[in-house]
Amino acid sequence: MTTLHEVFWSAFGSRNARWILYCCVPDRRKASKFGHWLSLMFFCPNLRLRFVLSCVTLKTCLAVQASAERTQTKLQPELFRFRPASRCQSLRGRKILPRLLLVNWGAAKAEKNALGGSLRNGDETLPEKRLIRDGHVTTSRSRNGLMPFDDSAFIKVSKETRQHESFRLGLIKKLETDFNAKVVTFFTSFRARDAMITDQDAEMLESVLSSEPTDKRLF
Amino acid sequence: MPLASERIANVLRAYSPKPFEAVVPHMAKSAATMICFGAAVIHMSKTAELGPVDPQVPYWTTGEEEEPDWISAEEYVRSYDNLIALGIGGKAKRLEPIMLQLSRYDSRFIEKLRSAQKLSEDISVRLLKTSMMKRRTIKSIRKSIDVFLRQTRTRTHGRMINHEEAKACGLNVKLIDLHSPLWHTMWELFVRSDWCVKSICNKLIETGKTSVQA
Repeated sequence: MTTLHEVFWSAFGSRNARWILYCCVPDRRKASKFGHWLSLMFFCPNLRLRFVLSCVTLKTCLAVQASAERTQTKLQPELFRFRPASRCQSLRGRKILPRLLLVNWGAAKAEKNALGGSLRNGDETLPEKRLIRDGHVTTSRSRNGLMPFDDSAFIKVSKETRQHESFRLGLIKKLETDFNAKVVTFFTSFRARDAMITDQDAEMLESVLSSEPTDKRLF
Repeated sequence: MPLASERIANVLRAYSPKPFEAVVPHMAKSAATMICFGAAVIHMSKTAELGPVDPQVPYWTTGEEEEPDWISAEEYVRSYDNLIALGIGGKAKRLEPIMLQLSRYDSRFIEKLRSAQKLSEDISVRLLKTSMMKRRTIKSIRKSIDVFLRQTRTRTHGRMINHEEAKACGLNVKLIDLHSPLWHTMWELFVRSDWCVKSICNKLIETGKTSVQA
């Protein structure tokens, strides 16, 4: 049994109509559903009715396209915004723009990385290999595919032994969040007499603070 | 040392849009206590300590040591005053041992220590007058922080003044709960920083982005 849209495709094979349809609805199966509407639109003798039908078709196509893009990209909906309808479809100028715009590329990329694969649903991603060196597992990958040197056990132990600042800076940032203030720490030794508080410390402190202006109170 | 504390408090005030606050995870003695006096609030745990603010001076027992002992200026001046009092009091049977002892003192140095004591007291009172004790008079501030200025109660320079005593002095002290996650973060930061200043460097100034060691 032939349906109206099959008649439409066979009879016209209109490049323009097909082009419009596929631009709006990339999924062919979904696009075929709107063939009925398109057929009615093109065959309808009444101009007013044809106009109404074209509007309905276009609106439905755009809604389907939006949901399709959302599903395909796997990304959070808040990363997108809808392009204004006036700018979205310009049939006279033969210019069709995607309905959805990525608002925040940085966030999208970050989320993409977190997903660990392509943005598209169809792309099959290989399972991540667990990168292990010196008995430690890492999530980052170096260029040559091996575990980055920074993640090696030796470096980790060395950092712990020397009490690398990265351990403390993370804690300071956490305290900054907790206090909602800029945290500055000042520690001196009680053992060494050279560690008495002197004017140089005030200068050192000022040089640090002057390089990091803030509108929050100091803690 | 007291001047350095005043400068540091001044720098912190200048770079902080709002009055700065101080956190004492373990010990803030002497000059560090004075820096705390410049803060609007002092956050302390039950185990945290402040200390007297009287200045410390180097003291060579024999004059041959490479590194001097450090004694409290108040103790040094007090011992000098006691010897003078004994000498002129007329109660001592023999003056020779007193004269021998006094010959080791330099009156100019004693005067310098007296000035240092007064300076330390003055800076402490001024810092408090411009921060936590704005509404109080200088006289009442001096009286309330007497435990920080004299050794009459603490007896030694290093004795602890805990949060309760500090609060009783009128300081704006907020207690940190020892079982809160905030305290655990602070304590970890303290342990790591303390280890650093004990074994790698003597001083450590850090923010969330910068680390300066000296």
